[in-house]
Amino acid sequence: MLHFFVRRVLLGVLVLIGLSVLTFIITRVAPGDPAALWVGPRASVAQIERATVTLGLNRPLPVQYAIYMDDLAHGNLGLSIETHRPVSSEIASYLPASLELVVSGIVIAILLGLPLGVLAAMRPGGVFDAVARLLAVLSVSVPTFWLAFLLQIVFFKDLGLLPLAGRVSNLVIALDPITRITGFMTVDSLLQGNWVAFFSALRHLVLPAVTIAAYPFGLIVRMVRASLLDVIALDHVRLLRALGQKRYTIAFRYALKNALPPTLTVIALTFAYSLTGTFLVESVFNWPGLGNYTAQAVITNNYPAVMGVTIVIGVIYVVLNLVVDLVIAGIDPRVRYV
Amino acid sequence: MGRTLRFYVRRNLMTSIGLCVLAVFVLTAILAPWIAPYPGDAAGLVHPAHQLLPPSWQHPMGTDELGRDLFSLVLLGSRVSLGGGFVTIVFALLIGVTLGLIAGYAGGWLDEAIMRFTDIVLGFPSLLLAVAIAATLGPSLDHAVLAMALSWWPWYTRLIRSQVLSLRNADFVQAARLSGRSPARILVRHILPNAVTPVVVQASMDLGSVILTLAGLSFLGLGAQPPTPEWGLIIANGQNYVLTNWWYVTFPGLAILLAVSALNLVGDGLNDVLNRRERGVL
Repeated sequence: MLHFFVRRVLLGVLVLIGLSVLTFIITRVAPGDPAALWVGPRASVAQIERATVTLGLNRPLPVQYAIYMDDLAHGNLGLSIETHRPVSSEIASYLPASLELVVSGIVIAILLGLPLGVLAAMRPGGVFDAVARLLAVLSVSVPTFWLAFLLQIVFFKDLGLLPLAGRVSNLVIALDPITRITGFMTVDSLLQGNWVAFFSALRHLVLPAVTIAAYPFGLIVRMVRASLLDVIALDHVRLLRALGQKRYTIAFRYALKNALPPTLTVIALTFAYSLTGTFLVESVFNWPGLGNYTAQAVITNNYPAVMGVTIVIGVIYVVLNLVVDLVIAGIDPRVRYV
Repeated sequence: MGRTLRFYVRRNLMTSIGLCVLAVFVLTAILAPWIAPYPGDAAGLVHPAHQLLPPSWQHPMGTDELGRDLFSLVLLGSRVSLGGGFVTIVFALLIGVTLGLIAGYAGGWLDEAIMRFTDIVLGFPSLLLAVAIAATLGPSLDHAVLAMALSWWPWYTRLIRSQVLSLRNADFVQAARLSGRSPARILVRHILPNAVTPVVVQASMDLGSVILTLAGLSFLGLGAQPPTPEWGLIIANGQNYVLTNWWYVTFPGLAILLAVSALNLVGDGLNDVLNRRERGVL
């Protein structure tokens, strides 16, 4: 187990170093002069030259990379070329908004997808199975940004039930502002007992969260169904059946546990995928998250910001994969000896 | 023949529907310039008098803010979207299969190096890579295709490598080696044909996701550029009219949904046929 753990951690570190090199190269060969952006549009040539020296842009690339990694080891992601503020604090202010969105989306996907997948596998070819397969195919095939527009047309324009975009209403910002604690607006407003703000935040969260949920929902239904069908063919399930256990008990209590590892992997992978894929959804719902921040940074060639986001997402991705591997090794002892 | 066909369709209703829809899309993509009612609209023609008309017999999907027929744009857009997705997968297969063959057959440090590099690329958020490449080289359809291919190949490398590992000591490979065939010839003539099936299935299942990603990149302005009719780009143009003119974004999106669903259904069907396993009943 220890050997397995050490190997996985080392591999994760290797992936992160490779990721940083790759991003560094890509952002540095991009056209455009960061020094000119740093000093602003009305700067003189001399000012730009001075900024080039301050930012260390006149040094050889490998040296620049070494300096960057040294700073990174001390928890310093550098200053944003655009705002001159530390990238780490900017990411910290945008990340919670994206996380709130992605976590809610994944939770919705699990709550709906898991039971539907189990019901589908219990009677292959039955009604539930047909509905589940159709829904699963449609939800992994729908363009997220288009689904977002459809939801806006139906729930905002036609039914008038939910708000169009943003995180809370302007009225709440003016009259019942939320003090920032975790950065999750729903959690913060609850902690402060601010019910008006809580319901506003919740109502704003519904449409984007449902949009995010579509893709993982489809994957979870397919994965649960397929792996449960494999498990049901095993002898111990036949034994349970012979012992007279109820079908629902067998499916949900016994078989589901064996079918969970591949589903967990899929959930972890889609979590990381959704985190980077949020910009399509964030741009439609005007959600002030990491996706919008990154898109802006890429357009202005704000390389410390792009590097910072890539590294933060890379770390989340690697840690998540590691955790899932360990959990699976915990559930399924066979994995440890592969 | 008729009975076999009927039996197949009943057993695999979803796959059959997918196949039919896919066939319609492929035919449309091929014949688009001849069946589009207003082919000139995709080449820059504008009709200010007809702007933002709702769906009618003359314009089944309505018109856009320049008076262009959306039905024609969607028909012609199928060439760009389906074609772009196909080219991406072919490029990704070329890179992925080559590296996977080398890694699996060579073994040792070369295998280790290739697979760790594969892990790194897999760990890279693919949309971010595409955005970075588009920002570096400038936004265009070709660069979007390149970026997607560069982030998609690692899956094929892993699959092919595991196949090669299970085949490289097989009797027929030993025989080829003993009779003095070069490694390249053994790989291409003897191993590849036996290793390629799961990769092709996987690629056919990925085609839908690639088309979705391409539409997403075009929607962000990083893929196809106007006036190229691409589905994601049409939706991006229509986003200011979402609440006032529902048809503008609805129909191109529906085209994406149908095409990608059909591809996924066919991919699933292929997977079922080629990876048949014993399934229990509860």
